[in-house]
Amino acid sequence: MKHLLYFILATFCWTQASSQTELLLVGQTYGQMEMHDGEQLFTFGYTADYDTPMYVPGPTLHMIEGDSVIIDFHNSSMIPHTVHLHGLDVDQANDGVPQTSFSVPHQEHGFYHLRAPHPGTYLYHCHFLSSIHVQSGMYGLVIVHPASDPNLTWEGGYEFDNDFSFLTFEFDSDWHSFAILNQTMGDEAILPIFDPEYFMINGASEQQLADSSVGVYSFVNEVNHLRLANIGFCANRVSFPAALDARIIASDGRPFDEPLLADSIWVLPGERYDVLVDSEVPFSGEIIFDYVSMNNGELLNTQAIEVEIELAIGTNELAIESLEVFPNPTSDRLSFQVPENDHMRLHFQVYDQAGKQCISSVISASGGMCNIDVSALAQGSYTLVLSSESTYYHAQFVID
Amino acid sequence: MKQLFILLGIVLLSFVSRGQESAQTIHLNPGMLTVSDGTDVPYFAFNWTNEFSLDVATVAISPSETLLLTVVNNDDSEHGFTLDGSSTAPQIIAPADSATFELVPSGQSIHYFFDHSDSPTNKYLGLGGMVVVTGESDANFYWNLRTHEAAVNVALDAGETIDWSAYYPDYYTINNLSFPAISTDPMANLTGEVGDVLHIYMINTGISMHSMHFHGYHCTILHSSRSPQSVSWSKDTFPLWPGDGMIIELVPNQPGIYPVHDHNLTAVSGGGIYLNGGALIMIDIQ
Ligand SMILES: [Cu+2]
Ligand SMILES: [Cu+2]
Repeated sequence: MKHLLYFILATFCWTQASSQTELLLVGQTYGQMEMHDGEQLFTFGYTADYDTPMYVPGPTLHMIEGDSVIIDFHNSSMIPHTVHLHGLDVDQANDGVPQTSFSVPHQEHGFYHLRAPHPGTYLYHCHFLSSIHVQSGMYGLVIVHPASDPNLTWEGGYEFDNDFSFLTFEFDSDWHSFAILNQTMGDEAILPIFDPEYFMINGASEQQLADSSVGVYSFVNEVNHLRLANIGFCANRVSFPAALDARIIASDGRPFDEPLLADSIWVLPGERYDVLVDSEVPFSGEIIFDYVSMNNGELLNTQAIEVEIELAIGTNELAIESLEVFPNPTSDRLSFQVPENDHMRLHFQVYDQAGKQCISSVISASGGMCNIDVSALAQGSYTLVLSSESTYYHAQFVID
Repeated sequence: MKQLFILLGIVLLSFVSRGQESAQTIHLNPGMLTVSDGTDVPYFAFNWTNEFSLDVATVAISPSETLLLTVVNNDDSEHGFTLDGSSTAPQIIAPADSATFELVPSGQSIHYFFDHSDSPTNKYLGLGGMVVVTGESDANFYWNLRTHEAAVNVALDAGETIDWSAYYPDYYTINNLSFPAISTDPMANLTGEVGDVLHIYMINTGISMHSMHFHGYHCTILHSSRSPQSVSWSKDTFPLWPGDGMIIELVPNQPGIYPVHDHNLTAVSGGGIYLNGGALIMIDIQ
């Protein structure tokens, strides 16, 4: 169900983006967000129209590589704001920095012109009294899609099935009082000591994350494209389960020559990283986000999002059959009847409970019995997966 | 005769690969820093002469040179000295004594030098800098990033112990200068023309982390002491851990005036006031 919703959402955004070169952003200063502990925080923010209630982060702006884009920014609040297109390398006039570009007074429109030449992950945020207005909630993601295919990272890049974005930030309630947020004393503002209580991903934290489906939900063998971006004031260390085989493929809207294979990546304020993850077997686990102080390196908080990779139940997907293995429990060898009689190569893998791949090999077989050596495995329960071109066989076994 | 040639060749080759020697001397000087409330507190710097200055020595060599860096301790207490990438082990230098460190570079790079004793106090009190091994470019810029918490300097002066896990900087400097004073430092202020090859040598000699974001441009990472795998990445935001050095190349494709700033937005402030100093510098491209 989550998948379906996500797909509809993604398709909707795509259709909307490809037919549109003018995007409306409305700047607002009367938002309220409920934190995980029930606390209500006063926020600023952007909305895509006049009716949708404000939420932090603001709407994701979808653009297509090479398109000319005009952002019509209507400041419907009482204090000046701007739109800075972070990482899009726009010219000085459109840069959204009040001192070198322009700021938009209340009830006026500001038009930002740009061309987005590089597919990838970017940010936008207000640059008026930026420390205050970013902390207030005036930000969102910009995603630039390649012209040819929304499920391609970039021309000549990687195909993916699902696209997920995770934008991290923190809220410090001391910064969200009227007195602090509504400062308009020229170029200056008073900054309280930053000591955040709320550590957020896409506007949610703690139980709100699972409740609002902030996570990675896919079928086996689907490639998931994760866009990590940090608009907060802390350093994030993002750790992936080893079973997801994370490949870091791009940063700040530019591809890497070679993917970086790593189970964790640091994302500092303003940085973006694009990561591919997938699994050949059902997997359930978490991606961990650590929030570390830029001041002194202390770990301040940890949040986790769900990863649920399920068996595909579909017509054009692999058939799924369970396989009988013996002896079970075992300690040194595992036997099974090779399930198909055609000459073929069968891939098999053994995964432990954490989803870590322990054995991966190929057998050439045509019927008969097959024995595999499992003597190197530690005590515990494991999943054996055997896949042919048409069928996916799985079995649970225990090493005692 | 043939053997003699070979021998000569080897001697010549080892001479060439070893390169010319560059002997340079820096001084570890005690001095004073004026903190926000106007009081003077003890501070240190590595300088070219025995006179204390907040204008810290940046040691530069070319990749074909071997550096012999002599450090003179002008303080009345002993200090440590470490040069990253040096074949000479870290040393403790007695008052009025000196030590020499050899560095055979393997290409364009940054090498952090610092006082490793009483860590992180001595690093925090100004004792860090960089050796740069330069490459081909139209212009080079040098940013030595650091943070300060006035109350910590005052407490250290009073002999108190510091809880570094609660450190919260209130001032941010580049080459010991705050914005906009940094704009008057030709070593740091980023100017050039469209198409120029500009190299920026960044080092974090402080004890906080930075994340330097460029408006207007992407830059290519040429060297990173912490993340060698990031070399060749084109980015707009550059993470710098304490002690971390990074060289980036900017080839501007458009004119304009843009800021470069720490995207930890509490760092674009001084004394708790936004845009009062901060880890911020401007780019001016004609
Ligand atoms: Cu604003
Ligand atoms: Cu930004």
